[in-house]
Amino acid sequence: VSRVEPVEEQALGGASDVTLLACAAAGDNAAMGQLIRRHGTGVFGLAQAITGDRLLAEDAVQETFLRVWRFADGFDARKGHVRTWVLAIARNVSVDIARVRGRHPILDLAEIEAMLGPDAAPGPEGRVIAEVSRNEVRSALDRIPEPQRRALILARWMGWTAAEIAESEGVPVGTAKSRLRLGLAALRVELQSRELT
Amino acid sequence: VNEAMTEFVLDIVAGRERASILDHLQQCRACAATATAGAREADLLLLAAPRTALPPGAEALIVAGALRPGADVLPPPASARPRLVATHRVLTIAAAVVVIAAAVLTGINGSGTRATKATARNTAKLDQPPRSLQGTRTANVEDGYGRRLGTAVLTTGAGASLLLSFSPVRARGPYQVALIEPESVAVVIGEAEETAGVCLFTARLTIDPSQVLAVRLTGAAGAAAAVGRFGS
Repeated sequence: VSRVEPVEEQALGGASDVTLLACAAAGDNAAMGQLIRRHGTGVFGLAQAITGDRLLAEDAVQETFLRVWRFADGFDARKGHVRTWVLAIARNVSVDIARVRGRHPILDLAEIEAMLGPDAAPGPEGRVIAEVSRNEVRSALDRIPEPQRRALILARWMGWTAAEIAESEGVPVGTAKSRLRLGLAALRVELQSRELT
Repeated sequence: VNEAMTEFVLDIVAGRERASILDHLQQCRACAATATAGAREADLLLLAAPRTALPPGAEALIVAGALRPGADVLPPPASARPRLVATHRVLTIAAAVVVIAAAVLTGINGSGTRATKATARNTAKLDQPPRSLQGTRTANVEDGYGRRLGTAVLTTGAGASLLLSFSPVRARGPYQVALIEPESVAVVIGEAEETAGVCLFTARLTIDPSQVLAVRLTGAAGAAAAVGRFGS
């Protein structure tokens, strides 16, 4: 069994996500560790937001990175960033866990707004570019009407269907679908104005 | 498709509706491009999620957990070697019947989520499988996003064999089928071809089935398309 020699620890910090993923796919434990260091806080925060439980979120983090490792060689850089790929896996894992353990309590507006507030673990200073993108996404979200923003968050983070959003919000399903459609269109405009897409 | 596109890119569409959208996207480049762009925008929403520091040592624990024998399957090394040649595609229909029967008997009747909600009756069946299925190990076949695509059944008695049934999200077949052994050794056992959106595959094994940790499907592009991990 051949393995790629681990990249020097010093070089790992400066390696791109795609490089780290390729090294991890070839069996480089240190590269995988670096990926976890780099994306762990985002994955853990998302998992905790979805499951509403720290222990469940820890399970989700573990399962997420196992899947990242397992499917590392299948990542297609043309379709998006490693960061969003990892977060999408975390979302699916967390939603699955949340559904098994019982639905996360219905979130109120304050709770969602709190999630969009300051982080419990701001990113390291060395990741300025990533932070700018993240802050700009938040800024873009702020400019979307509240009911649409709320619908988008419930759908993309929590995995709620239009019917579930409608039930939670006390509106017809058609209204929930409209909020999702209009919200995504508004987000697109905001992201484009910030040259994020 | 236009009406459902928003929900599709937000990844909240499932079942038949999702399948019909995927069918359309395979035939319509314009819609496929719209979906790709929309999914990229929707994924950016995930960046806005809160961040929380991992517990101390979490990174080491995750890596160690992944490396624990039998705990997980790493991508195979380049030296993965073919070692088994006997494939029997003519038995695909019979294989499908056995796969479905095994899935029902073991309580795997949908997503992993549903499996955990097995009824007491199903649990009883799982404790005492019929003689004909004793020694059978099953695995959910999942893609990189954790979507359940199908089922793999490994029979470990006399005449050990692998039975596989899955529906790829997007057809990129034929799919190379490989069994993963400890130390990430991959043993290629054949190719699964897709017919009407479904891949059925069966192979008689000449290796020790107790050593098989997982089955991995690799698409025509050479990327891992799905993995099914067998329980002990």
